[in-house]
Amino acid sequence: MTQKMQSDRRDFMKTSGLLATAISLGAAPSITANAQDSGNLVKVGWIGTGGRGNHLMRKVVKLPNVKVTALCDLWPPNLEAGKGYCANPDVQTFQRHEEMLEKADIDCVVVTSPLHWHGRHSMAAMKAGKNVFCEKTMALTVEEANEMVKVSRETGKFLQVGLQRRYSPIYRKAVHMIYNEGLLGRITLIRCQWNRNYIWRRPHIGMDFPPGKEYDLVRQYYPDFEHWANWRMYWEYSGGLMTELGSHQLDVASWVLGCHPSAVVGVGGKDYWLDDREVFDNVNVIYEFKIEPNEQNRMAFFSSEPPDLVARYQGEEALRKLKTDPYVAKVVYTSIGANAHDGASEQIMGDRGTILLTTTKGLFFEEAAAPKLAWGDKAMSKAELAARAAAVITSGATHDLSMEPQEDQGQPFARPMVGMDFEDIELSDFFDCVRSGRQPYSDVIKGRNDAVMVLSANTAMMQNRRIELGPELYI
Amino acid sequence: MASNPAFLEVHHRAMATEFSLLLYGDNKARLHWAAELALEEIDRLEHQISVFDITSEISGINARAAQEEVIVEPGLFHVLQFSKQLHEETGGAFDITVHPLVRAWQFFRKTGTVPDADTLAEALLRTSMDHVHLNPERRTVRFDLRGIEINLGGIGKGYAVDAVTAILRRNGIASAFINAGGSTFYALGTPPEQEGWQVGIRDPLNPDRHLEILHLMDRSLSTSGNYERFIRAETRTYGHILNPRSGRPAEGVLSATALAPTALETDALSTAFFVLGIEGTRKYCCSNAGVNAIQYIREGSERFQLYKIGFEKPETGEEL
Repeated sequence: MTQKMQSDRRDFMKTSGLLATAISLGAAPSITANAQDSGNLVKVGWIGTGGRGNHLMRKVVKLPNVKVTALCDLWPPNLEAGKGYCANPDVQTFQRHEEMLEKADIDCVVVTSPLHWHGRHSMAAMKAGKNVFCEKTMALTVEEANEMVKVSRETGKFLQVGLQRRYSPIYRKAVHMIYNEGLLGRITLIRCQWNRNYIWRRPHIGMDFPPGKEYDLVRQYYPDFEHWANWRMYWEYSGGLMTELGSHQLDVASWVLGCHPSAVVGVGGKDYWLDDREVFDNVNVIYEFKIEPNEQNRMAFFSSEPPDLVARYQGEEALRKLKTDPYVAKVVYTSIGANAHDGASEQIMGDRGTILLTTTKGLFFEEAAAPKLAWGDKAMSKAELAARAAAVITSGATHDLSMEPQEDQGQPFARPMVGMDFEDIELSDFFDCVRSGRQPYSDVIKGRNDAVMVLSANTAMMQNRRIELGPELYI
Repeated sequence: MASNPAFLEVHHRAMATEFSLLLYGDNKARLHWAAELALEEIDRLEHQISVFDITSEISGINARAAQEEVIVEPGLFHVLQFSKQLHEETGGAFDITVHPLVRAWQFFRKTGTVPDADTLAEALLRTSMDHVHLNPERRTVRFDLRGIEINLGGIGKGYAVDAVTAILRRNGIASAFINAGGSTFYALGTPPEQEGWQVGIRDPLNPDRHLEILHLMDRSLSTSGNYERFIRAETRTYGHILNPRSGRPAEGVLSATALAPTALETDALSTAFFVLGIEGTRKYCCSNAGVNAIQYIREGSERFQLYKIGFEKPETGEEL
């Protein structure tokens, strides 16, 4: 390893702080131990106390020295629900975020409102001098994302974006294996999907806003109950499957490949849920990631030693190119609403092996070298090849079918932390950043570049054309 | 309510059982909306309390509480507090740390023999809520012994049913019946033009017959019985409900039913009453207003008695 690489690696560890240190040891960091070191109470103002907000709030109330002191939501029943979960009988409640930011006694803000509010809520909070945790996708347009970066820089307040996989011990271990151990070799394809068999809307057929002044505000922002309740279904409020699901997994692709995509094509459709929704229920996109050799990725992606075959049939020139020339990796992303097969996972495919990632599991599959299949002494039999597959279907019986993708195959390489998932960790780390002034790992820049990625895919699908994503688009 | 009310029935698999909700209201849309929110909540709670999910809050408590104080989410903390209180009030008949014992019996179920005295003694050492310490000010839990495990199998369904009820109420539902696995129920309001939600308690010896039919309103009911799950070992069968004090299956009661204002109470109490038997149950009901019980007891080899405790009419033993 070169000295430069070592120092880069140290920087990576430093940036990732506590978590990366723990991962390098193959163990889980202790949130409590961490929190005990930093005693001061952090007071939280919470914007958006619907399903997502209350889910995360239940995690926050388990953290030491964190107190939710203010809640904000347009929808009165959400405020009531939030009061039930926030573990603070004296919590103040607001319908307008401006009022909360002005009056409440808070140190930082968590934004778990619908996507189209993220920009307004986060920027107002930073302008009020608060550090912010905001759920992904951080903005509905690239312009708004840029504006958020600008506000963060001008105010000196940070914005952590809820790209949770960045905080998962499993995903961190995978990145470590890829970069530090070169385990996958040259990655040419990442295949990821989030498939569900789910209508993805709250059924309420024909329900309207209740009467009463307390609903005036929500009436002001949404034409009817449907648009408020099912905001994910409309382009004005959401980017559909790409922003709500794809943002997590494409962030992983970008993290693993160490760069941003250079182009995207895609085909989307409303093919199954034939209701009034505007967003696609079937998205299929392909990104190109142009990978330039550099000190960070040389060992991982540009050190492959292909067997004799390449030298024999393609010559020394081909071998040299493998080590020096940029290449284009492809990332294929699918999300559908009418079949849940394979669920959510990312399959990272290099010439030495494959890593399959899910939120609870990481599996490594060693690649059998292709030439050996044909000529080598260790040629695999058909049966041996079949045994590598996730499911073997024969004429007589079906074996090893499982709900989990490739559940019983591969070598598991990391375990999730007991009693904590990646959301627990990202939130704990957020409050640690608030206390210490440290910049979050999933910062406004990562969030912003992630937004560029997913929003451009929507454009590609809507306009049915290839979108070039020049380096000037990224920060 | 309108003369022709809207009705909705939904089912959802979670917590290794089936939840079903029956809802009445003026507006079908509102029923759908509330039911969806309620089902989402059940999944969230399952993620919180499942011992099979390594990242659940309960798994975290079990892994860490013997080494350090662990802060607990308020809803779950309430469950732990009530479990602790009930453990004290029932002299240890209800115990959420019973899992080492359960495991000992499950293991022996495979071999077809009952666990030996040493195995039981070892498991009993690690079974007692006395080793679980709660600090309400800091909302923390701490175990003073390694190997203690909390398992909410005897109370988790009640926790979920209460959470569902709260969500339905908050969303304007005034008439609903919440059924967790056919053993824990909450009756919210009444069905239209009825005096209550009708619940029958099945006769454990004759599934076609009901021991009792009740009409419930704003009240929860749970039943524990050995007739559906049991362990067959050596020459006889053992019930699956263990007495945490003796380490052996509870005997004598065929079916124990508890009625109380919340499902958290009834889910736990039906198990506790099963273990306590008639005298202990009577004692508990006397000192806890608002709790009633129905017990079907084996008295002699062929004699069975039905007891109704805490109802308005004086208690009588009915021979069936």
